[in-house]
Amino acid sequence: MSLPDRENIVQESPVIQTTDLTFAYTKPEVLHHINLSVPKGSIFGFLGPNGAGKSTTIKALLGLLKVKPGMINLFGKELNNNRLDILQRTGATIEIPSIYEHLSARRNLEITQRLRRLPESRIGEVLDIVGLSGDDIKLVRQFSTGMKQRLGLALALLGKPELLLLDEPINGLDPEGIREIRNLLVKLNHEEGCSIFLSSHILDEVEKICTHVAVIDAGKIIYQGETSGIRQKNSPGNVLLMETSDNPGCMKLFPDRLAGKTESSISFHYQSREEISLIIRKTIEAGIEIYSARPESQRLEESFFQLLSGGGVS
Amino acid sequence: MKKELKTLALVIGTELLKLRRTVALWLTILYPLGTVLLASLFMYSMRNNKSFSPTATINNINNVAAFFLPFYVILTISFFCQLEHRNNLFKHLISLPVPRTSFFFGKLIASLMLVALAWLQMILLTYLAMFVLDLIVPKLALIQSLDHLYLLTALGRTFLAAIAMVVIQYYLGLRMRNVVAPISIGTAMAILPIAVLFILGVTGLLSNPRVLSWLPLYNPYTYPYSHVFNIMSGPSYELDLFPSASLIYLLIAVVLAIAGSYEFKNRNFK
Repeated sequence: MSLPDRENIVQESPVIQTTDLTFAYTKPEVLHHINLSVPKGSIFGFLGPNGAGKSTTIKALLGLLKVKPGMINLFGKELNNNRLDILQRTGATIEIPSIYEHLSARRNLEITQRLRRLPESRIGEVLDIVGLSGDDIKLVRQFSTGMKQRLGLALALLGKPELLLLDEPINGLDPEGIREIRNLLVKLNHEEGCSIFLSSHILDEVEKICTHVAVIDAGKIIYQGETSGIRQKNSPGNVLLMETSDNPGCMKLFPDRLAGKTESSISFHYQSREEISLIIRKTIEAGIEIYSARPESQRLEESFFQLLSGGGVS
Repeated sequence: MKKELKTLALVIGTELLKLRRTVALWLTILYPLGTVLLASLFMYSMRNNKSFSPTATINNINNVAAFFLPFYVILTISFFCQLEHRNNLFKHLISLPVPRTSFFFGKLIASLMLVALAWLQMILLTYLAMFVLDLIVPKLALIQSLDHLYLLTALGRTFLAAIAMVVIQYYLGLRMRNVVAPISIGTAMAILPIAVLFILGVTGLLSNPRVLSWLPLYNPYTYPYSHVFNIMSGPSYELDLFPSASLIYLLIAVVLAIAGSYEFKNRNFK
């Protein structure tokens, strides 16, 4: 499944807006004056190392923690005064799938369906969506980790949420499961207009599906904005990776562009696509054969670690 | 108000849904069954005793029921609350569009319903036991001479005496993630006063245990025992369903439930 063009979906009005969100279990503070702004219709990746405050932020957004000081607005409404209305429009998974293991998948969904006052037919719909229709009467304790993760997602989807808050939704999934969940989230976002706020350690996945990201470290937001922005702001420039018949000779052709070399490859800095063409043409003109040439921009993972090491933007 | 009651009914309904295949439900089935079986076997062995009567049978069943009641309540309520501590289920429930107080009172009412179910089974099984004893030993004629009101009152006041204990154990169960903690606290509360009586008796400091029969009265976990002391101390046909101490404990239970719901409403779910 190819990624849809989501530019038209993302609206700049924030579906989540926090102001000076601060929380401490005991001193020191776990969240320190967090100002988040999640655009409506976006898939928002929330990144950070273990203990940075990702799960605590999600719990605060769901009203599980009493935040003082600070303010949380969801759908433009203040959370404390509109909690039930906001939760009616929100679905969530927190840390691990919240399921009764001694009950079947259907019975688990039935509990939430009744509490949300939804029609019973909705259970079948979400079981279909997450691909658990054939296992609905099986006890959850017999489920694999991936199946539990999907059931957790089904519980979050039950109320047809306008906003999904997902804490590590692809933890424990195999590559096929990750792909399915990724496609499902993109589909929900694209077709239903559901805004998605997800925390994850798997940066590749965040990079693949998220339109926006925020990076949290030690309870402070150190970056937030579009996913492409984090790469651009931290990138030393784009790099062309080449394998040739004469790497040392090729290096001599562009000594001031050299970005790096390994045993089998060399890389050159470039600013535009025209410069890629120029490098390749001059190499061929010098009688050097090119086996491969691949433009590489900085990956989210590299930008993420640069930010954490203090080399990023605020 | 109507909406709040509907929500409460919804929560109670879902709590009952969760009971399937749980330790709490099994205990609710096995506690009355074991109690009546044990008391019936004892009564069968006493069938030729001159003091044998339907009232003695009821008192016997009531004594055994009262002895096991604190342990039944401690285990059942703790395991019932433990369901929500597994897999972050509390966080999931609290993030649903349902008021926190509805969860608190809904689960509390479901807990009380479990205890009421045990009481109801105890009564039905008592009738069944008497019927079976009559079949085996027809001369006993237990059913014929049974005082139905006495049966309901004796067992009823034992179970009503447990309401404060249910509320305290429920709060402990909701508050503590590790099921061992509420069970340990509850068991200590139930055993300590009896252990004190026993130790005083063994060491000779106390020759007549009835001297300290008030001791269980001031502890909600041993309060049901105090009825047993009363029954043992003389003719029991004048049993009140609601002695004044039970009313005080009921009041304490209501106050504790309201205080617990306030704490639950303002709790941080980490």
